[in-house]
Amino acid sequence: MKNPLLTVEDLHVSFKVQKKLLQAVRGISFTVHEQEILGIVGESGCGKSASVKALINLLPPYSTLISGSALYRGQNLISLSDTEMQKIRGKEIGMIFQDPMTSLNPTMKIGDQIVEGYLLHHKSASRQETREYAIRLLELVGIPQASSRVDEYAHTLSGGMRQRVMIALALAPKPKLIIADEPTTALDVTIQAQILDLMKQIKDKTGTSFVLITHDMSVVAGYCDRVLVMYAGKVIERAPVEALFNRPSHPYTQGLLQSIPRLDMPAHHPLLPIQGSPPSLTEEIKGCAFCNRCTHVMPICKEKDPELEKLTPSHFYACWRDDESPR
Amino acid sequence: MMNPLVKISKLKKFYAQDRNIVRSVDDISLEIFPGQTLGLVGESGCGKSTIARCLMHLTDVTAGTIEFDGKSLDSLNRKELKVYRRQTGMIFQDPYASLNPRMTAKDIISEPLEIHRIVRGGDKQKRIYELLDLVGLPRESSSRFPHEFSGGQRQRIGIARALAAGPRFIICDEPISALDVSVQAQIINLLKNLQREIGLTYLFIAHDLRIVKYLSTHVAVMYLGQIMEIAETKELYDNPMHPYTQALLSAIPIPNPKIEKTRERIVLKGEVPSPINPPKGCPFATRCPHATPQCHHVRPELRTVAPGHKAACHLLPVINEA
Repeated sequence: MKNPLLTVEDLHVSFKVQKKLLQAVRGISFTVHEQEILGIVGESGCGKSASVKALINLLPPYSTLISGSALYRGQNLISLSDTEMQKIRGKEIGMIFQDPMTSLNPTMKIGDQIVEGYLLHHKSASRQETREYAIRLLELVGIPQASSRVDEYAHTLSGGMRQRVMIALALAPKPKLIIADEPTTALDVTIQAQILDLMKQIKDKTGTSFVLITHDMSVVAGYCDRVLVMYAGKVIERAPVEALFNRPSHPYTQGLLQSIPRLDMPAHHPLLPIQGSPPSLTEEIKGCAFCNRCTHVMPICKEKDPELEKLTPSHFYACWRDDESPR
Repeated sequence: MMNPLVKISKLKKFYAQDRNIVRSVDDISLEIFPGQTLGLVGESGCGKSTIARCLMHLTDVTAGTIEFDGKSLDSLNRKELKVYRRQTGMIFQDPYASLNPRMTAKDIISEPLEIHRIVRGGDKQKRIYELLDLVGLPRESSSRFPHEFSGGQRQRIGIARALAAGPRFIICDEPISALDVSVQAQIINLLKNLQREIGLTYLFIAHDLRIVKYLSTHVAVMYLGQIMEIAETKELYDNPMHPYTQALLSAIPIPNPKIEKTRERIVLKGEVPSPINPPKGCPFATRCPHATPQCHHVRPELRTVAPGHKAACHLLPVINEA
C-alpha cells in the first residue's frame, strides 16, 4: 500500500446564495496516496470542483462556509492562515484549470509565467538559472522549440499547447500533488489523448500525484488508479478503477455507465438514460439524494441517507440495496 | 433509386480574415437521402458548422451548389427561400444561449408558427401542446421562462422550436455537447424516436465519434475543410481505413480499464494546421504516421476503397494490407 499524502475527513462546503445556503459538498472523506491518479467523477454541480478548491482555499471567503479536516503532511489545510496556505498552494499542491485560454496571463511571456511561482519559493535563483529551468519544463511537457517558445506570449499557442504550458506552470515549484479540474474538457479528442498521456508520464517520471476531476467515465477508465463517484455533494461510490467498472454497485454509477455512448458497443445499441435531473442543493435533502431518479427506490431511501459501506476492503458504496439484488 | 433530399456538390466556403483567406470548407460533396442521418464528425475548426451555415443559407457560398429536393438554393427567390426554411430546422449546441431569455417557452415554440402563418387561434394552442408532448415537456410548463428549466429541458424547447413548422430536414449542430452526461442519453433517445415517428432526415454534427455512432446511418469524417472518409456507420466503425479516422477512434478512451490497459493508442503528434495556409498535399500529411513524399505534394481524391466506403488517402489500400 502506498502512503497517504492527503487525507480529507468529513468535508462540508456551503455557499451563501441569496439568503439561502447552498450545500455544495455534504460531508465527504477521501485519501490521495503518493504517486497515484485519483479520479473524481460526477455531473456539473455535484461538488467535485468545490471540494478540491476548498482544500487550497480558492473559494470566495465571505460567502463560503467550510468545515471538516484535510491532513496534508501533518498540517490541517482547512485551519491554515492565509500566509501558511501560501506556502502550500502552488509549491506543495498545484492546480490545472479547465480553460487554458483564460487561465494564462496574456501580457506575460510564457517562460516568466512558468517560473513566477517557482521564484516565489526560490528567491535566490538567478535569471539565467530560472530561464533554463523554464526551458527544461517546456521540454518535459513536450513543447517543440522550447528555447524560443519561452519568450513568446500565450496567444501564439493553440489550446493544447496552452494546456501543456499550464501543466509546466503547475510543475515548476515541484509540487507533490496536482489538482487537475477538467483539464481536457475544452480540448479536441486527439489533443485530449496527448494531454492525459502526458499527465500519466509525469506521474511515473516525477512521482507527482494527481487528482483528476472529470465528468467523463471513459477518461476515468483510461487514466485513473482509484475513483470517487460524486452525486449531489456526496461520495456515493469509491473504488479502485478496475473494481468500479467490473462491479459498479451504486445505482447512479450503474446508470451513468449505461447512459454513455461507448465505442466498444455495436452501433444502435440502446442507451438507457437516467430519468430526471439532480436535486436542488439549496433545499434540505431528506434521505438518499438519488432516490427520486433511482429505479430501485425503497421506502427507507426517502427517510434515511445511506452511509458508505464496505463491499470489499477497497470498494465502498452508499446504498440501502443489497449488492445481491438484480441490477 | 431514391433522389437525395440534400445534395452538396463541390462546396467551397472561404472567409477573408485580415489579408488572408481562411479555407473553411474546401471542395466538399455530400448526399443525404430521406430518412437517413448523416453524422459529420471532426475536430474544432474543421468546417463542420460552416457546412451547416451554408445549408441554412445563412451565408453565401464561395463556389459549388447545394440542392434541396432537387432545387438549387441559389436559384430560390425570397418567397421560395421562406418555403425552404419551413422545411428545415436547426438545433443548436448551447441551450442557454440559443433561447431568448425574455420569451416564455410557449412564445419560443410558437414563433415559427407565426412567421410561417401555419396555425392561428385555438389551433395554435393545440399545436404547442402537441409539440410539448412530442419532446416530453409538461404542458403546464409552457408559460415558464428559459431560466426556469434545466439544461436538458431547454434543449427540448430548442427541439420543439425546430419541429414547430413541420420540417423534413433537421440540422443538429452539436446538440448535446453542452449537456450533462446523464441527460445526454435522454436527448439522443428523443432525437431517435422523433426520427422514427415523424420520418425526419438529420444532419448530425458532432466532435464525438461515440455519439455519432448511436444516431447516424452514415458518417463523414472531416479534417481541415475536407472529407477524409465517408461510409455507412457500421462499415466506418468496423473498418476505418483513413489514418485520421483510425487515430480519432483510437484517441477515445473506452470505459473499461482492462481494455484501456492493453490497448495500443495511436497518439497523433502536433496539431491541426491553420486553414489559412493549409498543407499543399493531403491536409493530414503533417500529422500522419504513414505520410510519404507524395502525400505532402498531391492532394488525394476521395475514392471508393470498399463497397459504399470512400476515403481520401494515397496509401490506401496499401497500409491496410500491412
